[in-house]
Amino acid sequence: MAVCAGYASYAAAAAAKDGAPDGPMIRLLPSRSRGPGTMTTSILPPMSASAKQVPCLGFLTVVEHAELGLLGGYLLLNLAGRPLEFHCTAPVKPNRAQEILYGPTLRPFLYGEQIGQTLLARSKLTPLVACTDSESVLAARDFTETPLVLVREGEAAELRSFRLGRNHVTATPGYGSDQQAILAAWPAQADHLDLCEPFVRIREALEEAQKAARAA
Amino acid sequence: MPPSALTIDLDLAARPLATDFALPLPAPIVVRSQPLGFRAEAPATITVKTPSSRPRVFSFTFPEAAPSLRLSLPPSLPPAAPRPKLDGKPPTRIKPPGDIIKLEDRLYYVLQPPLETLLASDALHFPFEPFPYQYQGVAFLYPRYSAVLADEMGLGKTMQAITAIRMLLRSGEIRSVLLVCPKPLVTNWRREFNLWAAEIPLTIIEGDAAKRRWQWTQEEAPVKIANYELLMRDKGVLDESLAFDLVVLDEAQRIKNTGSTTSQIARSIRRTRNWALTGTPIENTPDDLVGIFEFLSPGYLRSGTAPRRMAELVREHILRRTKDMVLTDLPPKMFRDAELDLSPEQRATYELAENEGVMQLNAMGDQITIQHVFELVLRLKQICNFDPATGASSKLERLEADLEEVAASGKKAIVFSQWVKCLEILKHQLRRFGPLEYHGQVPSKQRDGVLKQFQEDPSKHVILMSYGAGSVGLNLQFCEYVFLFDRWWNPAVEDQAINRAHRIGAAGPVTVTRMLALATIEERINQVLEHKRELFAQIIGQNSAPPSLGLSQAEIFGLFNLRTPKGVLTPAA
Repeated sequence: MAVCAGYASYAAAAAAKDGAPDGPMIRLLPSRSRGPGTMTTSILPPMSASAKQVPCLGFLTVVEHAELGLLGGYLLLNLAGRPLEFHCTAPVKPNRAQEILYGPTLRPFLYGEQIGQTLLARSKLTPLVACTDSESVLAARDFTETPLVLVREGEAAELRSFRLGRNHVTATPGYGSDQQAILAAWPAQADHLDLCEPFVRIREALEEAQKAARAA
Repeated sequence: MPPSALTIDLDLAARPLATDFALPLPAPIVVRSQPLGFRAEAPATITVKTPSSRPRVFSFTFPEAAPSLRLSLPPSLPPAAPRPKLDGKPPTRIKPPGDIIKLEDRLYYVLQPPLETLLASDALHFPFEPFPYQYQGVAFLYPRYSAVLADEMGLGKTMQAITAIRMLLRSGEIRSVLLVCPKPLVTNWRREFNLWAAEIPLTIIEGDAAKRRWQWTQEEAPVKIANYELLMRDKGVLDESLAFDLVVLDEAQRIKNTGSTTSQIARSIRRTRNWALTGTPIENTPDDLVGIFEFLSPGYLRSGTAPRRMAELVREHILRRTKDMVLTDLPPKMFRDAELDLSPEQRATYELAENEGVMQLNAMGDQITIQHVFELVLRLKQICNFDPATGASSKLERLEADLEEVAASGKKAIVFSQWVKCLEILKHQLRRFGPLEYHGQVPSKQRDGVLKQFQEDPSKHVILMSYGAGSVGLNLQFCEYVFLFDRWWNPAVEDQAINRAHRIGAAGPVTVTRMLALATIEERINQVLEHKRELFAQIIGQNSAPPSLGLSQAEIFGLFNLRTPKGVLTPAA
């Protein structure tokens, strides 16, 4: 049995069949082999040259830490759910004056304007849509062109909500036209994604980062 | 309002001031004015600053995964298994290993999606829905540069390794894999790759030297499969400029002896990641594990390390599950000890051979070696199987009786023996059950056909296997009966043989019949084996190891109540 008739011809044939761009289907990276028993400096494979064009989704949340304050995390995923970028803030803690003066607007200010806006501005990629699991983060929509929607696990459909893949999401109040734009841009490949799940990853990543900070 | 001045005519009468002087003096009227200020001081103010500076941000960028493998599946493959349903179970996450230090690297793994999501999104074809513990095994292997997957036989180490390799290739983290396995298992690995990752091109290293040299240097197929024997023959090629992103050793106990050529060559292969697959990471002594780790991470473990310390060191790198732990719904495995009296002919021959043998051994005095004792043991065990003069065999009689029942119920059985000659006799005696042979003398190219025929041909009720050829890597879960016609020295090898049938997909309970000739060397060895089995369970269960699992010199000589000679002898495997 000829198991491998030649990978190049195999790849070319498969690419031709699928109408895919030429080139191997398994990316062949420069070999990074080393002698046994030693570790490479970084384990990550090299960056793709066309990273800018990658369609992606954003996930933005703020976590309340009992001692440190607020920690913001922003994760960008490709349509397979793999991470492309992660940004997190140093802890943010409002002072007493802010608590008194901002009153009920403090939370949207911190979550949206301070943390959300800052994180959204830091990403190199522009997501098709940014999701958050915190209503207060929606205030960041005033500072970005990216549509921002609220997604909550197990939440029944609301009047303003609409379906995105297998999820129900709600557009930011005052930005009703976002719904149409999001639905127009939403790729079918992302339908399978659970839009609540990435927030679990963000929380774990923030915890990991805090562990590293404590150890440093 | 500004203050205004009012003029008031006082029109006061002046009156001289009476004094003691003669003339009164006129008293001048003096009007004094005092300005009164009306301007108030500005109130003090306090300014409260509300911080408006942006919080500090830490950013991490990860590489985009490799373009999806747009590989067309062979039309003969069944449709992909439905997407895994979690049914309330937590999704399987990849956790960064403890030896990955850089935060960026750790986050790369923390931020990976659950395996179930990855597998669904990549539209990976699976012929069967993997078990949750198999997802965990894949998640264990995926991020590790040094790993031992030590699941009990039958839990699907092959599938877990293939899936992890598949995911690493797709993510672009690796591009070249070398898989080394025992020669009889090469076809099994090829079959499993075709089943679980049909889109991955393979190169099987085989053929003459020139062909193999060409195959070794081919870079087109990301996965190469070679057998241990070829490693030795192709040492020269491997020493040149070959390098792999991942080297996987199947049945890695083959390199437990660090002084062996196989171990030395395996360790010399240039590579980035190393995985070892074995159901028996410790066959005899904890030093077996040291040998495997010399491949994974040279110098990490040392001989003589206290068992508790060794357990701590390896915990991060070894994943071991047993069927009891993960497959509560696996059909039971039932043992029957067929303790048989030798036939009169066998008994007479046996007694003669043992008495003469022991006399000869005693006569050797200090010249006796362990090899001499082994020779007598093997001779006696052969008589326990068949009387060499008459062919009488109480085991065969029992086996025939049992196989009648097996065949009548349309079932299939495996019979193990350590001797090919014994299997050949059985083949003749059991011909009415349509016996097939699978041992070292059956050419490799015919073996797949033998297995296929055994599975598909309803007239073939029994397959005769040697422990060496049939103890590892084969999937015979359609068999419900296993017969150990004679016993192996090491219970781990026996377990491997039994688990050819008792594994995932087993149709029903597996009945294992262990044949034992009473009042013979077999019974005495069995007592030692039982003891070894208990010790092995202790190591696996408690992750601590007793000093030795092998037969000690005293135990071997004790089989015949012989006096132990001077000198150090190697424990038996």
